[in-house]
Amino acid sequence: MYISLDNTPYYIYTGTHEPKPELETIVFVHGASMDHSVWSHQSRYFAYHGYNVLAVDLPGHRFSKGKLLSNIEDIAKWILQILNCVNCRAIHLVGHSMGALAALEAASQLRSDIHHLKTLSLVGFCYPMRVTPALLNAAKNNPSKAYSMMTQWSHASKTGGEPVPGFWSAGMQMSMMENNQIEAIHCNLEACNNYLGGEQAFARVECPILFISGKLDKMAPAKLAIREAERIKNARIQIIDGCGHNIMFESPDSVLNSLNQFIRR
Amino acid sequence: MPRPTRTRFDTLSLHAGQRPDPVHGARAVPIYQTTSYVFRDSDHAASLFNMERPGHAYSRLSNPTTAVLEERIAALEDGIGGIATSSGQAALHLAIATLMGSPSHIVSSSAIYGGSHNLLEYTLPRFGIETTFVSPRDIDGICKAIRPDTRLIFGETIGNPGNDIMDIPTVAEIANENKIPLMIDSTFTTPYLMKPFEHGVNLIMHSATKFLCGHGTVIGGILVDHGRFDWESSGKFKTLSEPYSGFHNMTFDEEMSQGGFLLRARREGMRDFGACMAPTVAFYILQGIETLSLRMHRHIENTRKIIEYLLSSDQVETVSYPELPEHPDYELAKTLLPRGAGSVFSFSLKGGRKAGKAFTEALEVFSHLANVGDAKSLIIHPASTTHHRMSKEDLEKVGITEGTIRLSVGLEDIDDLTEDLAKGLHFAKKETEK
Repeated sequence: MYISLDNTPYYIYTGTHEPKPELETIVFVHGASMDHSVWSHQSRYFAYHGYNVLAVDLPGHRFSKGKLLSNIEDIAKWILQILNCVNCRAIHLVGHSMGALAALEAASQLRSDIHHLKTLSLVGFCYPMRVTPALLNAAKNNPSKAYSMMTQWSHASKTGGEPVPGFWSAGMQMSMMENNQIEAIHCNLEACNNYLGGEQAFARVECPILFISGKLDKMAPAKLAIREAERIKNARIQIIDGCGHNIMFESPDSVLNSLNQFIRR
Repeated sequence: MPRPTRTRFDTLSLHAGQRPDPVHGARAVPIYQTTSYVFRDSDHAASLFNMERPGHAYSRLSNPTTAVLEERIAALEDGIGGIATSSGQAALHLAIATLMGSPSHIVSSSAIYGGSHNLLEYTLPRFGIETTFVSPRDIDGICKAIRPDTRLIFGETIGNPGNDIMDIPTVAEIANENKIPLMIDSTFTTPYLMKPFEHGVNLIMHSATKFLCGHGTVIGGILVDHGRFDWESSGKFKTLSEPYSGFHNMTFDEEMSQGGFLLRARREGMRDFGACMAPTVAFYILQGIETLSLRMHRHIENTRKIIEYLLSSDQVETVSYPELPEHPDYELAKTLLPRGAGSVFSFSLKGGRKAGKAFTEALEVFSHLANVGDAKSLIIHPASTTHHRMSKEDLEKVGITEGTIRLSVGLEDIDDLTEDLAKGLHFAKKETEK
């Protein structure tokens, strides 16, 4: 479905269902230069198992119009604006990589008199999310090279063999980034690199937090997520073997099972 | 633009899409000769059918062995994914049926495989899909043939029978300007000789029966998507951008924003038309792909030597091969096919129909049959076989003469091949002198 804010249409994948006020709502936020369909299996599952699903295309990404948002705080505000347009109270926030930073920031700003944040799930997360200068430089001056670097670093296997029949995951990721505006990659990576609000955001979030990391993640190493989980009250971590950063495609079932167990607890 | 990859062609040919069997450690791709797969429970079954979880439910939709082949070809072509089909013809039909219904229109190169021509010219009009055929060299003609209801431009990397090379980058621009996908049959070139996606192509199909398998053992096809065509903004592809009541009102392009085409092709096309590839067939094609670059290199090497040999004979009127300066697409071939212009070509023998027949029947190493892309060298003389009812004038209309011979050059020792051809030329000369 599309939600219009200030006459700008934004695309939200709902699993073909209209959101119902009596159901809990799971918001899925994608990473840098990605789109809603990185969550295709997980979002579809929840949409058919008793939840409202809002898998967003962030402004300027894939089907959503509007300008790219250049910092995590603005992305978080936009998520809250979208939530305000949907009649729902109980919320679960799920984000991947840059989307995880945005989900964390949104979780910290959610007004408890309007919404009840039940859980926060951070997939492929680390904080601070420093981006190597080589990647930032490529994103600015040679986006194709940046797409390639990210694709290479996002997969544990060099030769595929992922569980989704008939799809070549590296090609999928390249195509997804190529189909976004060319400026998206640099804008998004800068946003990750510059975000400094993580500590304060964690301090404000009171709901249970789940970290999900691929054991072989080179973009957001699992050890950083483990470190974060160990120092945060009410957090748990799930490490998925044999996976890198593109974890929702590399092991869709493992991610879904972890989320399902956590959200339904 | 090429997509940089960390893993190179020959490694992908051997490994893409497969991880060693985690249970038994099998290094080769196992043949999962099974129709169906045991569900863990009812919820698992429902979630598989509803695409909430990845996996296999029934081998008409997907199969673990076939999935390795699909992923491997997609990797070699720099695509996002593929669907293996029971034949190349099935791949062409699947693409068309996924993109359009009645009434629709296709602009096709006129220099295409006869089987594809039959489907487009005679069969699809019965289902409300018309085709306008245009010479692949006639760029203006391609532009003029496009209509408001055109949904596809179709051609081959190397056309039939004159080895016509389509100016793919230019045609891709035309397709893009008109918001129509360009699909290319890449059977004769394989990803080793050309990667059509680098030239702006949107969809690729192969008859995997030919060079991909490479050994003349199985029939199969494959369809690959680049994932770059914007089905929604085109506004011409309701099958992909509007809810489909046949699958829980799924809008395929939204469900998987890069893979909507493949999703519909599998979830509707394989489900309803059912032209799936058998796992054993996929295994044979995977075996072929493991040596693809070695074979293609040798195919080209032998072809160039045979052409040199034929050109030295005063019994040969003409040789049609894009690497020869007199071929109309010589310059284009240098750009698009730097590794070689394939190993299937025609030459014209002096002495007409009788000479051609005598030549063909005298050969022993070349096999006389109607196929191409085998490891073994193949030959056919159209005027005495596939086109034997056609007059000299009618043959000329389809671009061949009474003395036209088509060769598919294989991997045998080049000296044995040239000796075989010498024997054929000897008998052809004797027949001519009678």
